[in-house]
Amino acid sequence: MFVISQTDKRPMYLQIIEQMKRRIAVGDWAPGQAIPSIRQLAVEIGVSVITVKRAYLELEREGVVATRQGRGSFVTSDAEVGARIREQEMTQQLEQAVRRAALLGVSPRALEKHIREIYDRIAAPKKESK
Amino acid sequence: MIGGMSLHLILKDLRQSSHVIVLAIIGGMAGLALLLIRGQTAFVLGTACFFISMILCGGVLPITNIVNERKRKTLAFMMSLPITAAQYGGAKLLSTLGMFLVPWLTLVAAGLYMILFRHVMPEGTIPTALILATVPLMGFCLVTGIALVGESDGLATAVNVVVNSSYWLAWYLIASQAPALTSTWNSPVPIWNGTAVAVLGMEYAVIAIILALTMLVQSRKRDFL
Amino acid sequence: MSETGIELEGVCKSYRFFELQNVALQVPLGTIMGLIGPNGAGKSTTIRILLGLVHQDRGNVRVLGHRMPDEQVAAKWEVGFASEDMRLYESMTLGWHMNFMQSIYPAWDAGYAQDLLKRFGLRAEQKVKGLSHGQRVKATLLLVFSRRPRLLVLDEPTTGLDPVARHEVLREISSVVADEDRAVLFSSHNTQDVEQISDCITFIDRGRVIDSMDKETYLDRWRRLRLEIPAGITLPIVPGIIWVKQTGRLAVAITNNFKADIPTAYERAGILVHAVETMTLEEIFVANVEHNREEVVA
Repeated sequence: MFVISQTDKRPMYLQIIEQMKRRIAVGDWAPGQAIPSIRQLAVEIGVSVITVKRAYLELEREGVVATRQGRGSFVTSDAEVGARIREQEMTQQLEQAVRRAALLGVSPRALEKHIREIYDRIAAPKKESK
Repeated sequence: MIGGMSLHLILKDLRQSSHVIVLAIIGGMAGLALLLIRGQTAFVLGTACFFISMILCGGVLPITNIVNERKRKTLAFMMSLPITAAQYGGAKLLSTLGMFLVPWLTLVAAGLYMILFRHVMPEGTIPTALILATVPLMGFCLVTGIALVGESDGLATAVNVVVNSSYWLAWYLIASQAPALTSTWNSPVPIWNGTAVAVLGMEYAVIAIILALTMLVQSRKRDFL
Repeated sequence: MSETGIELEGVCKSYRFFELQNVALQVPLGTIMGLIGPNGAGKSTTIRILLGLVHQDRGNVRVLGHRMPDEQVAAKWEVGFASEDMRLYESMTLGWHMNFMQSIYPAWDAGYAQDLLKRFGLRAEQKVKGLSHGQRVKATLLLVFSRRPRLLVLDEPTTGLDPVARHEVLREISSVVADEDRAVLFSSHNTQDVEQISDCITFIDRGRVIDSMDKETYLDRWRRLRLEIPAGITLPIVPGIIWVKQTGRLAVAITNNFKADIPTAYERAGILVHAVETMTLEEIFVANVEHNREEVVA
């Protein structure tokens, strides 16, 4: 089930990309598996064909989805696609943080230190409690 | 011009306004029944009831069948069907006219029956009766044409009121200005003299002109809604 | 078939207080076109011309390959039209209307009609007189959808609907183009509806088409930039920016022709670009109308 959020400020095609990637990342859509056609998915979500088409094109460009003429669309057969998606997602969020820091004139060293502190505060204690 | 679609529209109109027709026939017949009671009062009441039924029916039909379609915005629904403005106009004209003709012809036939077989009046009154009965038909066609062609509810209603309240005047004028008609009233057989034929012919010519003009204007409309 | 759903070209129509000027737009089969614009912009007039209800003074109109208004009968067999100001017969039931449509259109899908009846929460036995505004809208749409027309033309189909009904209606509209041989044109004041389900957008203002293109391209061209202007620097004029507002050291700029060199141009002038935001259709609508009005004044 795809749900488009109205409070999400990002364009709909980005939301669709994210939700498709998540399906692949969690393994609901396995590598090499056939996925719905653009038109089918558009009707299922209730959004325009062109929006879904844009999401598919973007995913094809990233090598996550492959469309074969006349045979439909498939998840790439690369077995590591799930892991790649998770890593990419993290990278994107880090990039955003780094861009912000650069804008504020934070030095790489200070940034490293800051990230370390955040990590210790948020993630580390959980590990200890295990 | 009358394709399957027009037939659909005509049948729909007939169904929607059938109660008006039934009421008009009942009212007119009641008037004629009064004529069976001999006497001045019964005669006046009977003919009044007969013509009032006819006039009411003629006044109501263009409003319910044409004016209300525009006013209640069902016109857009109708025009979304596979028809042109001219076809719609033709269908409306036919259905409205047809619905009026049902009670009109029934009542005229019933009236003739009362004269010919129940002898409520001398047969010499037949030409005049037909001429007088055709006046509401003529007025009805005028109101219907204007209701269809005119874009304004106000205009259609105004014409309706004026036309329907002038019948008495028209009848009075015909009766008083054409002694050739009234002079034959007491004859035991209908006498079709030149005046009677000319007046009746003129009435039908006017009806034909009104209908033709209505269709012409309707088919030339460029903006329909 | 290589025919287009709708094709308008150089369409003009003059009224006493309003003029439609050179309207051109195309709706290919398999797509949904959203028609947006302020009140009185000419959306309804355009739709009426499409259906042959109003005859254009000049220009060509083709609907599913049929020349309008001359071939309107052939076109209307295949076109489903519903408008916000369309009414059904008050004294008749919805069921009567359904039978009436079924008797006319061979393509009437009785099963689908029953399905819609249930989903729209309507009852066939009910007279139109007793229906609420929203129910009337749904009833009118049911009559149109159940015909499964190749082209749907809907003037304000979601006005007055509750959120559930709106959702159902949008779903029905977007499912139409699951079939690549069908198309939809709908006008709406609800920009969110248009943004969600349309493939193409045509923006009309004051009788002229301002923009007509695919939705993704259209949305992509508009961006809002949030800027910080350090002391001693003045905001430069950057080509492509149609609207700027500065308060103190912060400024917001809007472009309708976004390219990567726009933020670069600001940065080169020493300005900090805090964010480059996409805009909703609603925001674009307002910015576009204001921009357009200013241009007309200037």
